[in-house]
Amino acid sequence: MRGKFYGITDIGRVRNKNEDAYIINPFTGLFAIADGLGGRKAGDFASNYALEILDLELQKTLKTRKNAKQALFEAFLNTSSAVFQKTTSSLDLKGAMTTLTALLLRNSKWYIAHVGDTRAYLLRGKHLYLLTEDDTKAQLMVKQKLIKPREALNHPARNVLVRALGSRPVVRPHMYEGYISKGDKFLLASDGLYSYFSFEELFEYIKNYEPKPLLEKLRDLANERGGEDNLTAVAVEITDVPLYSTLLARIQTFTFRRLV
Amino acid sequence: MSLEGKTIGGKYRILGQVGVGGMAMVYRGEHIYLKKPVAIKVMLPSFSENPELVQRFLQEAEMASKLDHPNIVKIFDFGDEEGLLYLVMQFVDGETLERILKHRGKLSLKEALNITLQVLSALHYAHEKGLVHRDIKPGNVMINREGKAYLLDFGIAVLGEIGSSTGTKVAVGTPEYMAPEQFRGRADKRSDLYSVGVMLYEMLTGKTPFQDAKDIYELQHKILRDPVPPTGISPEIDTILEKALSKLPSQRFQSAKEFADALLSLEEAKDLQYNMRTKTNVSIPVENVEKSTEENNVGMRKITQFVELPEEEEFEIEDRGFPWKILVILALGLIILAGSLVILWYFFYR
Repeated sequence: MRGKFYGITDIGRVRNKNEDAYIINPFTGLFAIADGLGGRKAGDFASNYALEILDLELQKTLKTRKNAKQALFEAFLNTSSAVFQKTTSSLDLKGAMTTLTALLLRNSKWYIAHVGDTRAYLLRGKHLYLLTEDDTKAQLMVKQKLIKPREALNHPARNVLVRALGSRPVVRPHMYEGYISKGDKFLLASDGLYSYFSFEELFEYIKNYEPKPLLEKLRDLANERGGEDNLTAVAVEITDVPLYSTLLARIQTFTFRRLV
Repeated sequence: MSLEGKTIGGKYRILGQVGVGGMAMVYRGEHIYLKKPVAIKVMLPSFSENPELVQRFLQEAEMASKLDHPNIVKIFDFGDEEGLLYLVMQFVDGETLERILKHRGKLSLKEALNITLQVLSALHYAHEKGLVHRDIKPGNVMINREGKAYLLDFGIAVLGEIGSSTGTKVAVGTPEYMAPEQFRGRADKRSDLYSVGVMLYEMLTGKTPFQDAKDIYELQHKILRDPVPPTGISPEIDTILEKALSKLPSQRFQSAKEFADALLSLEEAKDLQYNMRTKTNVSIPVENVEKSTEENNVGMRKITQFVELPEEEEFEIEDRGFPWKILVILALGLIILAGSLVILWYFFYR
């Protein structure tokens, strides 16, 4: 499997501290973003710390676990408990939490472990899919059938987080997986980025740009439109993958949540 | 700009120029009343108009004044004299490591270890304070006549991510010494330790690992991808350097202390008395630390600069190959199904 990637993080126009972060480990195939929150000092600590621990833990668990999904799950659980322990052990860091969306590319498959309101999008063929589910109040309301799924994505309560790393001793991630198709484009993005774009717009940009120009374009536009929050994004484009994987991936696509 | 003989801040007399930095001139001076020798760093007027660089100068002053370690140059005073920003620092009677290396080519293993351990001690202290230097290089290490090393220029420590004048995001550093992740705009204490590794490599071999790169793009590519060529000094040193210069921060030494401990386990470091906790360490003299009279050739110097973040990178991850297992299981299942159908048919319909 071969591909291209690029990552970007930006403080935005309004905030004075960047609490977002990303990590890329092209050797294990880990691409992850985190959006820190809470605590006067420590939001940026939580996000950076979580990403580092995840990278380290994943390197360990990939050696002990044969199954990449299991390895990612285990690494994520360990990360969540490490973040909780660290943030509760010191007054400075109290209340610091972070979202975390981790994409692992391995064995011609993608695996996502996710908590919070950072998102993973996938562009495949002529459609844009949302792979993750936000851990927000709006999303809970969908589950209780109070609002429709599409409404949740732009609902006022979509910013209210209900789960994040650091909130509880151990946080179980949502897990998603699937085969990779040739030409797939993954976009991991924090709310500071995606909230400035409609799905149609996002689809057009992802479709037409390579990872680096894509992220630069999205960053500049988000900042032009206000830049009220930190923004982070990682883009991955798959250029080569075995044929069988592409075939299996195309079949799976029917089960994804289509946006455009 | 000749400031020699002038008095600055009402207290410090400027005696003579000792060097030119990236954005400032450094003078030798003394306190008029105490006769205490000092170094005075004056920001070049052409930079004083750039608010971003002024900001950086101020940050250096603020940051460094908070640090108190025998291997970090102390800051005494800071001020603004008729638009000239100046910084009064501890005067170190010696040379930068960069000049020493230029003069001598390379250093002995013992000298190199001695200097590296002192720099690590300084970094250990700074890192514990949560400060990342981001621009460790021989040009920022002063060695005095007794062989004591001083770390300079915490100026870009806080500069992390800064927009250049054109608005594109860039990294700051000296490319030869920058860790791979710094090219991606990230730096933490392990990036400093990478730079220390490069510096150690240079002290031992006389050149940085990827010095033969033609331009900055090739250099960047090599730093991000290529393995570091062995020094050929000893396998133990190569093992340490390999770890120190890992592409991934998580595979490097995780703290200055860990790095120092690895170096202290070497045979050659045995009689280097050294203690990181108490911040006391006995240094051994480095030969040829004397004022070189030659003009400082600015063009040749490895300078701190704004480095554009790289083009998108490629990755390659091995595939598991075709899932034959699933196919075989499916085939077996089909055969068993067909077999049982045949048997059923045989018994019930014949």
